[in-house]
Amino acid sequence: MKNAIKRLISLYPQPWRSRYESEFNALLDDVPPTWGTFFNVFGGAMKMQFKTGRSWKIVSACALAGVIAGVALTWTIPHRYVSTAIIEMGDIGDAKINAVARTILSRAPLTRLIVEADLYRDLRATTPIEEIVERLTQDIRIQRAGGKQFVAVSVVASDAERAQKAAQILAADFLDAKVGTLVDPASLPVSPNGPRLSRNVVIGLLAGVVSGSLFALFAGLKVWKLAAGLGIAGAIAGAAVAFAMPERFASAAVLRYDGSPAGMAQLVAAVTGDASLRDVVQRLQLYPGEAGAERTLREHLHIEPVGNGRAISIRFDDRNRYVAQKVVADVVSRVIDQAVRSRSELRLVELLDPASLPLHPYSPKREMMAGAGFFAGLLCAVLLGVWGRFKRPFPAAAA
Amino acid sequence: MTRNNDPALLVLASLADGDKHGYAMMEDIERFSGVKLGPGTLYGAITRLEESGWIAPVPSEDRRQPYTLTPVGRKSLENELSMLDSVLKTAMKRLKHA
Repeated sequence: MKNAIKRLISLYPQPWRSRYESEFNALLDDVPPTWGTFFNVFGGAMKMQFKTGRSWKIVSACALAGVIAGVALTWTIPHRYVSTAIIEMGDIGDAKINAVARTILSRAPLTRLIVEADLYRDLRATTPIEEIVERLTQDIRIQRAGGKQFVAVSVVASDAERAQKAAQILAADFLDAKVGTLVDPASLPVSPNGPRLSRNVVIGLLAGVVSGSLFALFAGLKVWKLAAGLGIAGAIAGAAVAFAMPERFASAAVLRYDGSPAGMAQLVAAVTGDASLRDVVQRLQLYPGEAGAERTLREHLHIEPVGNGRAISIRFDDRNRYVAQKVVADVVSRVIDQAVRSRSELRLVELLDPASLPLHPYSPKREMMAGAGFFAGLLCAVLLGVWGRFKRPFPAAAA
Repeated sequence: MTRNNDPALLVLASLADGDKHGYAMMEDIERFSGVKLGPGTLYGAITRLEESGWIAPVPSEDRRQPYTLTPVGRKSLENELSMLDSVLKTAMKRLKHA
């Protein structure tokens, strides 16, 4: 143990060793060789490195740590495989293709796809299907390829066979809608396309260089303890504020609309008119005893065109998740009723996604608030450190 | 503000009654304050104090290097202790009257 402790002297900066090594060695001969001594000498070496070591050493150490973290991250992230099917569309226009894509990517077909292709098997055991559907939409790409007449349908999955099967199912859905002919069936991916080691290493390297440079820049300010303290205090304050805020749940539904923008505007205006909203408030007994209930309802109800005006998104948020869902379902039925009344509009409206039951609050975003508090604390500490540096430089005050 | 377990202050206090080498300082500090300084902490403080000119090495034939308080260091220690004494007296007085 004594030898191990003495070897730690080599971690001290060279200028320090040339001045103190001999006497420090003599001291280490006298003190009992314990783990406490070991860590104390190690900590002393690190502090001295940061105090007197040259910045490039710190930057190099941080860059190396970043590279190691990048490699470690690559190992821990599961592989991702991409399978792609190519469909020839001929002279079928974007509007028709988008309409089919919207139908295929709505909740019910995607739920079926998850089950049939056995996607996210582990995740399905712990996560609500709605969240998995949301995630699947990010793992599917439908885009023009090789000129206007082709569409590429790609699916990313955790193994090659599942990716291929999912892409085959999606391609079959396109073919069922009679909007194209299959040119290239879904390929079986040979190698994973992610995670990318080189990219993670470069990101780790850059992050290490940046953080190391910052650390080297501020190491002399003796501000790190303060930064850690204020950062943690900020995170706790942010989290406390977030937990004190009431939770709000958002429910949403999507309707396909193939009519004109003017027709959509009329539809929305009729549904969001005072009389209609008053009726919603009364039917669902919203905001009991609260004056201006319609106004509150209007503030939290968002009806807007999506998908280049080819669909209507209806979204409502409330403290009660069931109320949020009921309001959206009610507004959806009003849009459809309105379309029924003006018969010409009826064929233009179709419910793609029914009102969802929100499982998690969309507000407050607790992790984000805690993170913001943490970084605000760090920033305060750095500013205090810079201010203190100019106010009372060390060791000038000692002289 | 200097804390009562500030290694630099403890080293200065230890050297106030005579020159000492590192291990003697560690034992002395533990005796009068109960604080057990590790070698890394002790030499961190010695480095800072020597850079500031508050302590200086004393020529010695031994591998163990003794240090002494410089006049500037003595003056700084007196100032520091006088401030601590004032804080101590005020706090005691307030505690009695609380």
